[in-house]
Amino acid sequence: MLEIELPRSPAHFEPGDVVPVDVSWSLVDDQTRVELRLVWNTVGKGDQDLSIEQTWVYENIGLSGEKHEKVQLPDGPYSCSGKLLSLVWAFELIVFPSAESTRVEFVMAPGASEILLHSAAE
Amino acid sequence: MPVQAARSNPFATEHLAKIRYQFEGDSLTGLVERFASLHQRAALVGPEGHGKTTLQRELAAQYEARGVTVHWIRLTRDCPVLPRTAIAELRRLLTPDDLLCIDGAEQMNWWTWRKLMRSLPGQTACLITTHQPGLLPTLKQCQTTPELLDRLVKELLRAEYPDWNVSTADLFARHRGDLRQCLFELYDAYAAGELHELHAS
Repeated sequence: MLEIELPRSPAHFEPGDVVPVDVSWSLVDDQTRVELRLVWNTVGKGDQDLSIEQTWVYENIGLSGEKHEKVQLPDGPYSCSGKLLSLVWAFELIVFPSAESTRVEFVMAPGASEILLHSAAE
Repeated sequence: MPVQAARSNPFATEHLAKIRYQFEGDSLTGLVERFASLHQRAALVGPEGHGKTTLQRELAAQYEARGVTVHWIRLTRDCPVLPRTAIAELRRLLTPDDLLCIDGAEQMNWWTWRKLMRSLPGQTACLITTHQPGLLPTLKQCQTTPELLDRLVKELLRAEYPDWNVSTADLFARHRGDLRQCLFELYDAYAAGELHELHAS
């Protein structure tokens, strides 16, 4: 079992905020490492873009464990959504080599509120 | 009208990418056996949006799970040409135990295709997708049916709209069985807040 805990629900933050992130894992088989990743990706009709902004690597992990990180969020890009595209921020916790993973999404934009994109006609 | 956010669109690419190939009348194991009987050089054939790439990914994953190294070449109408150094790079990389997957092999001209095939080590497996038969023996002619589209749409809607029954027969006919285009149209319908018009009660 993999868990990522963020301090707020819903998880909405401002760019540059320092976010305490608690991660824990409880595994059935021995694995070599766990990675916590701060990522953003696009969702929509076309090809997906993905950017890994920061990675924390935990080695010699044992079958269970937990870590606490204080993560300073970057300045951008902002979380936004329109009909054709959304930009989504997330923390991902991935175990290697099994590739088991979990993900918690959050909003990061000025005012801690997702920017809604409208067409020019609207 | 409120924005139908792309992240909540059940027909967004991230959801489509998770769709597994739906076997009808055959199986993954059967195809792997047939691929072996074709000396591991064969083609998945069919028009656009008929599941060739999805099946190719499925077969490649099966080989990767057995420890085979899979190399990919993807050619599209927008990007139909191999990079200048690709064949030399493949010659350097490929070993007889590897599998080379070429998606969109019909985009290559005959000379490039011939040069590429000649550069492969004798035992290297090669699985291509192509619109027309003839480049390699056909492993499978990929086909779609209205029932298949119906199943996929239900699967995509299951999480958020389990009671929705979107009528897909016209869609399938309009796009001549190209499931990718059908699902793109459903994406647009959802984004425009018009999916309910296809929602047959």
